[in-house]
Amino acid sequence: MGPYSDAKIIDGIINKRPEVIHFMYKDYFPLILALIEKNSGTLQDAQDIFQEGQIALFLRCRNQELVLNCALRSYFYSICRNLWLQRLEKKYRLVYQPDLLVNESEAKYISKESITTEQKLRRHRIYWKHFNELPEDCQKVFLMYFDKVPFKKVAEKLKFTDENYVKVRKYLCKKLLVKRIKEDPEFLNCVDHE
Amino acid sequence: MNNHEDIYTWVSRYNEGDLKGEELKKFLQMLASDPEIRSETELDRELTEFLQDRDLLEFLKILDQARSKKRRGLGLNCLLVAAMLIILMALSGLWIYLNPLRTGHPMMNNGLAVTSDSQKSYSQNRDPLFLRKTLGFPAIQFRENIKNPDLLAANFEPLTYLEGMVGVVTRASHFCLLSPGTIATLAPGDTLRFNWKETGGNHVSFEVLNNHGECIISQEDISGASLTLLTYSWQEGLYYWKIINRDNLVSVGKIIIRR
Repeated sequence: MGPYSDAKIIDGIINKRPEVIHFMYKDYFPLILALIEKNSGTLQDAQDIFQEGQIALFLRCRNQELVLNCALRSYFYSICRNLWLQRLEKKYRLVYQPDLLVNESEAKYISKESITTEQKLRRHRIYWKHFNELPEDCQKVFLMYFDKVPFKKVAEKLKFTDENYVKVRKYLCKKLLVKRIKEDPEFLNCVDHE
Repeated sequence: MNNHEDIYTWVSRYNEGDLKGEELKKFLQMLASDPEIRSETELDRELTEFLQDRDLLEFLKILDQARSKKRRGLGLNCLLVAAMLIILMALSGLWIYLNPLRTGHPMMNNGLAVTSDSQKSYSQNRDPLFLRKTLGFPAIQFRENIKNPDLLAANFEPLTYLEGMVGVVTRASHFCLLSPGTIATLAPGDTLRFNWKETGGNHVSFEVLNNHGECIISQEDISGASLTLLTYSWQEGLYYWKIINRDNLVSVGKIIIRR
């Protein structure tokens, strides 16, 4: 696995190449974990921030908003740093301690850039968590529904009685998903819609 | 629209563009006046957008896989480390069992004399301790079973009755120790060569004791003028050597084995 150049990593993110994502996890995660742990966070916080950072990076790569003026590692670090900074300020009211081992000034990422906000990234992560925990048929119904697969075909593929049941199932699944999301305590902390 | 079920259905239909005519008009009025419906609509809209983003869903799935692979990796690493520790402990146990200085080798327990002829087979028995004679080497005798001090610090406590004799040379008119000095500090595994001059035509005897006064090496009737001591099986600690000539103790010194 790896090492990959920055260009290869970006290409791997856009094309969702598992080996590149695994490489990033292996190579970048210790850096983020050190940052979070140094600033009052836990391993779980680090994993969440890392995932949100990767979502942010993916969205920026996909939307061609990525302007890289430094090493990707520094850029990613600064994304995670800013995400954690926002959460620290909001939730813990703590002062951020810069990591002197990383040349932070090298990172050109500016939080005022038009990047998806920390709260929205958190919500994406929460949506995914609950979507992923839904029964398998619910997930399939959603995926096929949003892929515009006709209800009749969905019913055939999932061995449902008919297309009406697909509609009912889709309705119940979405209701279940919304219920679980709304009951998630973490969601309550990030519903302050921007 | 009287209950929450209906509101949710309308919210969902509104976000999917399925609400038309009077229903839409009515819903928009409620949306403008009811903050709860607004937040419900906002959540549903964002969730619908999220579920429609197939690219993002696929990406998140891969992220999850990477995360769980990392966890599995950590789990495997822990198992590997545990397995290695068990193997290491087993090997240590075996080594301690075979090491005469620490536990008392079966040969030592029996007080078996190892002659120079049997030295080779002794080495082949993987016992690392032996005294190599370079000139005239009649016998090495291992004595009592040696205790294994639990604490390293205890291995450095001086043996009072010998400590006062270190460096003192007595009744040595025919014997002169050329090397080493009376105190030698060695690392485990180092060798220490003894050279002496004996002018009376007498053999000398050589003993090494640990700091508990237990004899760990005994060599009698050495006709030559040197011997080499190999220490690679010795524990860290303090040892004393004695040279006896014509039944007189002629020289005492000490060896410190330290990493």
